[in-house]
Amino acid sequence: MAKILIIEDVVDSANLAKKILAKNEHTALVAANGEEALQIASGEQLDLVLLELGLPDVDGQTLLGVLRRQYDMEDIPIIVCTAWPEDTALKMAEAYGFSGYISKPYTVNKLLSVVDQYLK
Amino acid sequence: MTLILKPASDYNAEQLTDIYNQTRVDYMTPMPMNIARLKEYVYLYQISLDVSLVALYQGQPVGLGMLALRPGRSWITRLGLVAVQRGLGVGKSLMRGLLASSDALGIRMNMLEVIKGNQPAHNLFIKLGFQEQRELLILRRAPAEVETPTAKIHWMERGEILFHLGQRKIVPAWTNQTESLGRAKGISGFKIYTEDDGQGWFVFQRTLFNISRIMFGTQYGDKHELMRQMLLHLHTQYPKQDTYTENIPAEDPHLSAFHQLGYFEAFRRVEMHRHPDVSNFT
Repeated sequence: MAKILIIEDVVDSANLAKKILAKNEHTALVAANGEEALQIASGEQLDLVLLELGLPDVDGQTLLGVLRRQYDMEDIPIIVCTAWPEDTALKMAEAYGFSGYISKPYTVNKLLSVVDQYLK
Repeated sequence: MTLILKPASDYNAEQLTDIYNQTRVDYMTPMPMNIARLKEYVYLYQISLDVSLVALYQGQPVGLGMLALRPGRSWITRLGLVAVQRGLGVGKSLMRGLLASSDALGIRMNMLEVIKGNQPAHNLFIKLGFQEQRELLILRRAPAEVETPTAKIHWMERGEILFHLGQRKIVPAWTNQTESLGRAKGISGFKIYTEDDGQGWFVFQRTLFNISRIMFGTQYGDKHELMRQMLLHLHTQYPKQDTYTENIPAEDPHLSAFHQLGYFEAFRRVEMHRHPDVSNFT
């Protein structure tokens, strides 16, 4: 179905998201940090990105800007995963051009419904 | 619950980074670090790993607290607990250990910041004798076009930058003190002169993707307009860089210019001191 990049430094969270997406016939690639994400983005045609804001080497907000401007991903849905309060998440989304966000912790159904929404 | 506190220096950088990141999972603002970032953090802020502590329970790390030292004051930072161990007294044990180390070194003033809304931590610090001082803002700005500035600037050499930083009258938060900026790479600064004889100075750090560590002083003239012109110069010079700056006091009169130029508050911290002493340091 879709090729989805999960940018998430917490291994258990990344593996869980990968498993959920794979069960729904998506191909899920995982990057644990910004550097790995950029390596994957430079070599793969992605349909959607799930991006954790708190990464160990670069802020998710900064990474999003780099992906959009330097990796030709202006039209790819980039969904931010964040534990920020909703009003802050909305401010970030508006300022940085996230396609959408999903609040952590999220359920299986929530993850899948957000992914489906942005793949349409 | 029997805890053992070990010096953080007993662990290598990789181990310490792993312990640190474990304590940030599910935290309000996660802020994980890789090894390079943690090493830089320790260096920039003069953290002593000999007196920083790792808390162990049944042989497993369950918490971490770091203590930074400068003449006459210390700073407690990166206090964190593994999620399942929160609320069980680990934080109090770590804090008592860090404060005991600071006291043993004869340091009278202790500083820390707590994210606003982290009530359990705030309550703990109050119980340990800390008092609220002020609120500090963490601001972000996404890249965006700005109008052309009208004021003139003159780029400063490093010596002049450090001079102006050292002349600040209001004590900055630890991350923004002159010692921190003096150890940071990529620091630049300029002086500004407006048409109505306004004067000021502006210092920042620029890395590959970000602008950060914004510091400033306005000497003569309208504070809002001076700040606006300084930010216009910054964002004209570096139009594609994301900006993130920490610990600007919430009462700072220049903030209106930041908001006008697209900065917004990501979150805020409450700065707290214990045994505050009027030391003339910046």
